[in-house]
Amino acid sequence: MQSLARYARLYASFLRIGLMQEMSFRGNFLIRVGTELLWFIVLCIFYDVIYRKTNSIAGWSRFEYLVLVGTHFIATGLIETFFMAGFGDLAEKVRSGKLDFALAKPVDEQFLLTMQMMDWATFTNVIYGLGMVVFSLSKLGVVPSIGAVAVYLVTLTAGLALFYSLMVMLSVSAVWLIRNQHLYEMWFYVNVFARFPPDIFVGPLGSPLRWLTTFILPVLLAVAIPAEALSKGLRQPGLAVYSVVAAIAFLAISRWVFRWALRHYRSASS
Amino acid sequence: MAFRKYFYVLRIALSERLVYRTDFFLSTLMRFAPMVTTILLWRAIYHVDESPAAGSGGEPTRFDGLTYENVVAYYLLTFVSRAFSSMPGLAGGIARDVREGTIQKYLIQPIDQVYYLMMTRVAHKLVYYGVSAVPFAIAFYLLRGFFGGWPEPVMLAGGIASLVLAFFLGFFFEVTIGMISFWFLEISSLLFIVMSLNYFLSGHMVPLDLLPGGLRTVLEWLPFQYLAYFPAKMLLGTPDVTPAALGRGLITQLGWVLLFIALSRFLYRRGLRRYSAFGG
Repeated sequence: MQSLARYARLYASFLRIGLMQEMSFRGNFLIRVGTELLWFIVLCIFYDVIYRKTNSIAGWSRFEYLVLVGTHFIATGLIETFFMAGFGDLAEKVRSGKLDFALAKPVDEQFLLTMQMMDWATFTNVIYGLGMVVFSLSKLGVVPSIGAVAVYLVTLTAGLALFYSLMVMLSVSAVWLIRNQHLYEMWFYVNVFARFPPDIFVGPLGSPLRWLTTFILPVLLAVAIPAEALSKGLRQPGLAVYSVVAAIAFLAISRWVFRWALRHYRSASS
Repeated sequence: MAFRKYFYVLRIALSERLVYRTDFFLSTLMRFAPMVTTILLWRAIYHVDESPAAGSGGEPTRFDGLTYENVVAYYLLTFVSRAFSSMPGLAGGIARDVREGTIQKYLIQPIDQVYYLMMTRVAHKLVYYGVSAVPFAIAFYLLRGFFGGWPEPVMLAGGIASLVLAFFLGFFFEVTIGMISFWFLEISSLLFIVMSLNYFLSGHMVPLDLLPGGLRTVLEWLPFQYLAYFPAKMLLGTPDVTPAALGRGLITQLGWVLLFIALSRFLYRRGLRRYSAFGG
């Protein structure tokens, strides 16, 4: 059993090395940061356009909605910075057979394969998102209590854990599907529902979708619950608990899937 | 005549692309998935479920002349315009050929690179339309309630013309960008910026009618709206779309196409001169 401290030190070196590597291609790094900013601005314009036409969307006022949008940026920014490169790399390693090198190292494979590679350029999304959240809270005149912030952090982490687990399972499917070029497209579909307040999912089309993405694959809770807790207080605290429980369950499921896939891979290559 | 060899290229490219037909089918089906959230979001923006006027048969809410049904129909129509004007991998492919020297194979053959690329694109599009016709038909059938009916014959003809022009505009625009790689070998960042902006400027993200006046005026002068917004709007058939507007728009669109044909040709000739100076 490896010590936690050892993993922490290893991870710190991943962070440092990743940043150094990216900064050595400074021009490329700056351009990527610029394009992420551009995308953020385009989205700000989009919501500005919409909120000039109406004052609320499904009960969410302009700045309440922006807290959700900002939280979505934080969540996707964190996944894209710390894990996304690893997921893509994992799929590639499976296809090229280089997975063996990672499996031979004396470290937990899932840690190594999903957490070693960084993409620091997308970390700016976290900063933009944070800025948007803080700005919107000030416009709402809301100063969140310690409790609200704590709920925000816990449920956001649960959302991140859910996204992480889903992406692990998708990227590891390269083991038997072999054709996995659409990883970023998959990531889009994983987080697309999380961009919206659950309240817009109504009617014969929306209701079943809402149920599915709240209770079976709780992506709808990942961003909306923390945003709601921070901006206007949770209406259904039970959902926050469910979100955390589901996150833990999905982490366990994805770890099982991961190990199962590796066993399948090992037997295939030998 | 020279045209026979391009027909041959088309046939080969067609059979090549048909291999991907299942992939096209699945990816087209998935491409419609975001329509679900689009419909739900705009339903909430227009307060369709809350507004008392909607139930009593009063005048539907309009934002800048567009009703909720117009907006949903518009988004679906942008799928059609994008099916004509999007050219995935075209600029990047040209840049790669320049960078890796594989451009040689075009230069030593009696075939024009741009025409060759166009034939492969036409082949790609034909296969794509054939395969995605079914998902498109399903989507339009399911959402037929959002449309007011078929457009008038004049507008339909004009709409189809604008779709064909959108294909050429999209094609020569991306070729022009690809030509820039003769000067800057790595254009992927530029491409990414252009594509991100294109999503917004072409009207794919939000109908341009809804943008504030100043921004809207700026976009009138750019070619991007002719890639998605203009064909979609012509086929949508809202009252502000008159035959006069159609005519004006088509002429402007044609103008942009001709401009990019000329620009891409010019850059290609200049680029080749510079390229051979490398001794590549």
